[in-house]
Amino acid sequence: MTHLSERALVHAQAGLAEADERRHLESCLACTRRLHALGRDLSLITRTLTDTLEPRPSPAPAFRRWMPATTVATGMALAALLWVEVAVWRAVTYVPPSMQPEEARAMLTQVSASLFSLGGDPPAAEAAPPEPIEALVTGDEPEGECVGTEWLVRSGCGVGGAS
Amino acid sequence: MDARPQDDFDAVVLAHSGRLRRLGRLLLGDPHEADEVLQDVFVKALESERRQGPPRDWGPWLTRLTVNACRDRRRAGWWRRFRRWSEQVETAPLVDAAPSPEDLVMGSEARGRIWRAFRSLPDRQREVFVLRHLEGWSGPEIATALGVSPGSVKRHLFRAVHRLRDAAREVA
Repeated sequence: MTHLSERALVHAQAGLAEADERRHLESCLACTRRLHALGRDLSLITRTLTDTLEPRPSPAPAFRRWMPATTVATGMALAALLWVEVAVWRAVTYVPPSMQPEEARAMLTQVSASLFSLGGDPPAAEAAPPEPIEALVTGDEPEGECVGTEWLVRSGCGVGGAS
Repeated sequence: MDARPQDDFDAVVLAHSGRLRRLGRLLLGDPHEADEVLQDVFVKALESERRQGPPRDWGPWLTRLTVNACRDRRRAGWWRRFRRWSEQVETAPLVDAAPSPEDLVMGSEARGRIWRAFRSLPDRQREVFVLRHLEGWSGPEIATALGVSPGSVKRHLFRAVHRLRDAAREVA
């Protein structure tokens, strides 16, 4: 003899059993006992739901329930901040191009030469052979036009020099 | 002297409000929401009675209206329940201050297990279980009210009972 499944018993308890299941229940003592046990359990459940107050979550478990979500949200916020710093902020911020070591060395040499030169001219200028004044005057540069401090050494510069 | 229609409706409210409030609390898990749903249900019922006359049987009709209103509330009002969550926690000690005889016999832990199992049921399973075992509706009535097939009712009912029984067995 095949006994009724739990599903069939639940249906029988709810009055939804098929005809053959009802017939089996009438003749099977074991299934009838199981049906009564199910009825007792359901009675306990329905009494609990109708006659007792639903317990409310206490603050501590609720805090623990929100803890993972809070942690994930904090992590995401930090990741977003990092991304803004690395990707966005650096993309919009101007960074001067870096100097090559040779260029830096040459610039520093020039600066220090200017600073420590007694005559006011950089040593590099002194080391180079002075150009003759004629060459300066008749050079490639257009006559009478002086750039920067050339008026000090060029005869064609300065007040009345161009004439 | 004939009773006035308003008196008739007051009698309907008196006869069904307790049962419908309990149904709303079971389906929603929130007394405030259940009270709001109950008010909405009776307002709709009054309007419907004035428009179309009273239904043939107030009980099933109001129950169906309440189940549908609870389902709408669950779909639309998640943020409201979230907002009220903190209030519930604050009032918890006051609500549970006076244990009933059933509480004393069963113990709060066992009671909590059954309630947790009930709350963890999917909405449809909870509706079918409540309508069958707490409201006493038949399978075809539940199928008609919820708009599902009788086979679906049986399936939902079995799953709900199976889970609740597991929790109850731990109690026993």
